[in-house]
Amino acid sequence: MSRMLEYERQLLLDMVGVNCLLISAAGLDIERVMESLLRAYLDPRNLVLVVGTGNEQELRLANALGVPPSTQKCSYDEGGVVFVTARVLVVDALRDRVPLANVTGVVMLRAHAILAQEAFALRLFRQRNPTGFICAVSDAPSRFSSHNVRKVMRTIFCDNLLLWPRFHSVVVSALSGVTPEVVELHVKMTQSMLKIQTALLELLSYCVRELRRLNPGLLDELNVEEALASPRTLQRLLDPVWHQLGPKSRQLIADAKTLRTLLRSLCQSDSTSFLAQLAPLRTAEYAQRSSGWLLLPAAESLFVLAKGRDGNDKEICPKWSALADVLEEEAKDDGENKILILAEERRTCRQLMRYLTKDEASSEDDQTFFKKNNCLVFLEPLVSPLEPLLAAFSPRIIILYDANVVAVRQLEVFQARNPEPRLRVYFVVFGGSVEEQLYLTALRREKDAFEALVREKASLGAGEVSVDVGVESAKHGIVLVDVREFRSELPNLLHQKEVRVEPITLKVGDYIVTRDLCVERKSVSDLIGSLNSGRLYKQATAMQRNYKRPVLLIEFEGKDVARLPMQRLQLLTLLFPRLRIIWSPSPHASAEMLVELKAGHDEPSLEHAVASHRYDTPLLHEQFDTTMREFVSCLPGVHSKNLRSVLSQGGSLAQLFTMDAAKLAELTGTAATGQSLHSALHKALSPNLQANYVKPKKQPLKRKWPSKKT
Amino acid sequence: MDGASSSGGGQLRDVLPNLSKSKFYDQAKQLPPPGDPASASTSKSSGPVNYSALLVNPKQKGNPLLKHITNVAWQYEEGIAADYQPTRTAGILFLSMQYHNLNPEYLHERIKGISNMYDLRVLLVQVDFANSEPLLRTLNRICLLAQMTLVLAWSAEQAGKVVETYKMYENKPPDMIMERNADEPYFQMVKALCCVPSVNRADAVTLLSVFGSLEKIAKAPLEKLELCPGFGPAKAERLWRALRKPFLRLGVTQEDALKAAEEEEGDDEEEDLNDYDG
Repeated sequence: MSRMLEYERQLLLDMVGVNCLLISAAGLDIERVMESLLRAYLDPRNLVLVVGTGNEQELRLANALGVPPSTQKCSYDEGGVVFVTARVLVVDALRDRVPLANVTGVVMLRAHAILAQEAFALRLFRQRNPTGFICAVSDAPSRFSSHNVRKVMRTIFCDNLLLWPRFHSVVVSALSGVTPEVVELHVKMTQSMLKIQTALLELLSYCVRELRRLNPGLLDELNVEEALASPRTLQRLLDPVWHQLGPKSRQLIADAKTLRTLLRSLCQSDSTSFLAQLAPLRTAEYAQRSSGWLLLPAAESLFVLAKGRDGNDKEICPKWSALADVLEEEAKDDGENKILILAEERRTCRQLMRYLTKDEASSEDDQTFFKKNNCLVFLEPLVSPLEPLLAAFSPRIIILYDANVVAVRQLEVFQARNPEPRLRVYFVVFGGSVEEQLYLTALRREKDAFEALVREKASLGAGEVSVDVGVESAKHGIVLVDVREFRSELPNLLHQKEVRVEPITLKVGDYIVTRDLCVERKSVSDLIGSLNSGRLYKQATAMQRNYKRPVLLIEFEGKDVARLPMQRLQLLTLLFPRLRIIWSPSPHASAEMLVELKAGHDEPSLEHAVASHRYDTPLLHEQFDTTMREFVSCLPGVHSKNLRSVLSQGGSLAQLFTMDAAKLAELTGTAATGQSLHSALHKALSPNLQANYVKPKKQPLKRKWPSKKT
Repeated sequence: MDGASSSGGGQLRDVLPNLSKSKFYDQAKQLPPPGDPASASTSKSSGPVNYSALLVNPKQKGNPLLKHITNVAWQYEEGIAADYQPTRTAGILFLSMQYHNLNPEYLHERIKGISNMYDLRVLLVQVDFANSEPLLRTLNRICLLAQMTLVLAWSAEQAGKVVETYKMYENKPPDMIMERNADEPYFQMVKALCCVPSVNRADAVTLLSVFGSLEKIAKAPLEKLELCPGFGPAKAERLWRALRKPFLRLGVTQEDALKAAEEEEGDDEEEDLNDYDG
């Protein structure tokens, strides 16, 4: 492994063994620093817990260190570095299975995504271990606003903020030694491409305007630039208000996403693929669903122009010809240069390969390299980190087909680590395009984010952030909490109120508060879903059967009120007159209520909670893949009684397709269900547009429930 | 009937000549038509209680929610203990939060007043007070202790609809909130496709409209999936993989699964368990 750069060394020194929140710029390869840091603790005399979510970054890290990732069962007894998810850590800690007092420290990856369960894990750690270190790391500075960086720091109980932007002096000096030679190629878009781009931007702008019009005051931050941002960014912007958006708004958002994909695709694919992507948008189905942008004149232009590009004189994507030119120049006969072309998507790589080798026929997915004049040319999709790819191919010429901030940085870092040979990087971008704009915007955002963070750091007084960790005690008794509830805030809040929280797999209820009192917690969204699907009915039945005092805890916020499924809820109360309802405006209020309910009553009985359900028989979710189990359970002909049979004898979807109706009937139990399933699998399905599906209410009377937002 | 007018219609009193002599006749004329709050001057009703209507305690006269009861017949009935009696076994007490703030004793008295008369005891609270949280906490507590079902309304209109709905749902079967099985196959398939992570309803509809049948979707090559609107390469790949996954988890054999099937006798409480990704 190549030597560490100066900034990596400095980072390591700053971080090791201390409480800190490290925010670095993307692409500076913080992963390698983390790996070095953790490697130091592999000795079994230490125990360092890495709290992660099982994502790719974690998997790479775990692999590099030779330890199992958090997706696998872990053992705390052998020491060293242990990867674990927050939820498992919390449950294990509460069950006293992890010696938190002896833990050397906790490392939290993805500090920008700290949720309720991570916060709980950290608090438990701090309570039981005042000296171990907590080190939280993030390479997504734009995810931190000045408000939430303080929140994160309170959550990790420290005020040591380490900021490492690209413009940090140590980084700058480390990367300014040997730099790659960069050749910027600003390719011009064709006339029709420019017109298509304009049309798409107009349509996107329409979606944004409509969204803001339908939701006054709610989506003020939304503009075309935001809408063009990555799907994740857009989702995050919309998440807090998602449940207030009516169906029309949601359709607009989906359409905006489609338009965004088209805009990107315009710069990345050729005219034929682009046209193919438009095809599904011209169906009657889509027209009926869509938000109306198809009716705008810009839409017509879009279709006409796209078709025109792909006619007899098929338009060649200008980037392609630019690419071909570069190859001509660089692929010299001496076979010295290895050329690596990086594009964002594998599909683009395949297309480019076909074009560059003039080989229309080949569609072998595996082969994405070829020889030109004795030089090897590789086509690879962009990955992060880039280093393994670069190390594997050791190219001298790199062509960045799609502009990408992180890739550029990683090339800089790679060059700094490997000064020989000097790289030549071609940066190919469409001038005046959305692609160029997005690149510049990404840079600007990051810069703004860091500037805000620097200001925030300056204004942090000493000791401002240290927070009282609280005391762990069972002063108010015990509450049995279903393990699945640990995704929410309530168990943490109960624990803060000095209740001993006992995690157990409950089949009935979410919280067993006293011997007789069983609470099922529902948010308004859960309420709607479970009343519609029949689940709440079943849960209420089970609760009533097993406990003297069944309670439904409804957590709502002011803005949810209009969405409450009041009538269905009322029907539930009529059918279950013994079911009590608690209305809670916040998780804090819920915690308070539950503590109050304990006063003067017996503690919950573990035996009773466990005995009332057969939770030792192998549950469906343990034996069968979750997605497939849910998928199959929705299919026509499949119901709760034959689900297990279909799953265990079906094998897989591919196998189901080979079975005739009679064979399927063996799995489902009756000829009728077998036939339903067979038809559903093989027949072309379409909605019966005459039937009023969306709400098949049987009541003949129409009533106006107080103002539903559109 | 003797004396019936030959035109076949006419007033009741013509048809039944003795009616006007009955002692109830004059009083009945004075009774306000059901559902007409404006003319609710007299509130006495005598004779057998008409349980087919929603019964309203005369003390509720003037409550704005009454204007919003438009889909059921209602009448004042002095004999009832609760404020509203939609069915024989259900009673609703109405409480304005603002009122409760000023007269906390009132609720206790009323609760005592309805004692054990009803199977379903509803406390309908109109949230008309700004800082409602502390009051809400108190009301939650009271309802738990007094075996009452707390229902909230945020306007007179909502409150009226709550009362009305209890009447309308008097004999309603639980179908509406129970598992539905007999949907159209198309929509069941849409729901099934939505079970694949990152596939939403719009995506599912797109897939069915582009490919037609599940078989075609499942057998489509990756490239074709990518071309669907809303599907990028990552999403397409996820879908492609998901549809090819075997049902059994890694390490579980078919024998294990079949054995478990035998051990399970009529487990009718099989819910949609969220995955414990332990």
